[in-house]
Amino acid sequence: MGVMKDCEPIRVELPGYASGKLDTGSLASVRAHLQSCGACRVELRELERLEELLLKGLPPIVLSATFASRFANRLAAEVDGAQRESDERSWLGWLLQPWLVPVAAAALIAAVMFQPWFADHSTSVFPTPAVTGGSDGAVASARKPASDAKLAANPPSEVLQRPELFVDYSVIRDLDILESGGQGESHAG
Amino acid sequence: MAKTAGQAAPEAGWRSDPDVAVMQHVKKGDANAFRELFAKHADAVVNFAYRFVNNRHRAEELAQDAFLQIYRARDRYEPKARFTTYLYRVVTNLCLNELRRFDYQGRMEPLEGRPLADGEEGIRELADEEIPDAEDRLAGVETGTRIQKVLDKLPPNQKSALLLSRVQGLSYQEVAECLEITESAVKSLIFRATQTLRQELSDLLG
Repeated sequence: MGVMKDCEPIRVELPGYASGKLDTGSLASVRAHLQSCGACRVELRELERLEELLLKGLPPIVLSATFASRFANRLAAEVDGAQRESDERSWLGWLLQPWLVPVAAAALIAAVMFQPWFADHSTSVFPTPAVTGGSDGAVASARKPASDAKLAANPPSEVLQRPELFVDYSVIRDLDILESGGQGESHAG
Repeated sequence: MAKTAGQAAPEAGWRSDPDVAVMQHVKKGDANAFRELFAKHADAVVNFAYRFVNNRHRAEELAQDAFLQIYRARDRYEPKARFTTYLYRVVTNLCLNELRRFDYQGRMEPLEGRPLADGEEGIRELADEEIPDAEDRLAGVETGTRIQKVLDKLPPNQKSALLLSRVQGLSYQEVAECLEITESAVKSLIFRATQTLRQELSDLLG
């Protein structure tokens, strides 16, 4: 029983026929061919035995005991990560809301425009400790009480010219001392 | 072999596929719905991956990777086929990548008698009515080992088509969708795979 030329397209269908996978159209043509072809019937029987062999020879495996818990942990980490990402997105989304952009721009422009005014009034905004006798000034006085008292009475000329630049103008005295190699201290003291 | 998926025509079946509806809940952020899908399909997916890579630990990892990949892509999920078709497309791609990355030749696990890792359980024994005594049982194990060896020798596309069809029970059309090929190509791949199996296992088929 040799394989005939018209057997070729049918032979391709035979594994599907043996496993019950063929659609009705293919099924009819295979059945018709099998009635007249002994070679294909022999091949079909062999394929049916192969199907049985595969069914018995490849039994399902049992999952390891930790499989489900391992996946649960991985999924939990994934869900947490997704939640964090969503939170970050919502925070960024709030920050980048359209209405916030012109507000921020207006604030920036105002800051630039009023910068000279702030500079002129910085003494009242950031009073110098020695003049106001604030807590920082008290600390400075505790460090060098005698010299700071003199300093408060007679501030350096730089401080008088640009008081807004010097929150703690005793620094200038320290710089002067360093510049003169320590002689200023004895002079000031 | 476990036949886990339905045989309904995919284009007619996916709209009434309950898993597609569950996946829609997952898309809306329902993680419990996803756990439901995992519980339902994990066993079959691990078995499929195991036949593919012939390594239990990697098979379990691959199955988990596949589910996580689906979970990560939930926002983009658009039902176009049964859920199992989508699931096995993902799993098959991961298995094919795994085969490309690693050489599994000579790294087969014995089907029985292997020392098991922590918490691992053995291969499920064949049912008594299928293999009545110890001698036949041993013969069954040997047959399984031989079949697995032949499967491992098959080209990846033939192996994919055969396993999806015979192990997972997908219809030819579903296999075609999974592998993104035509149904005729699926028939051709399975024909060639069965020809190889017939040749290699001829002594068992006589």
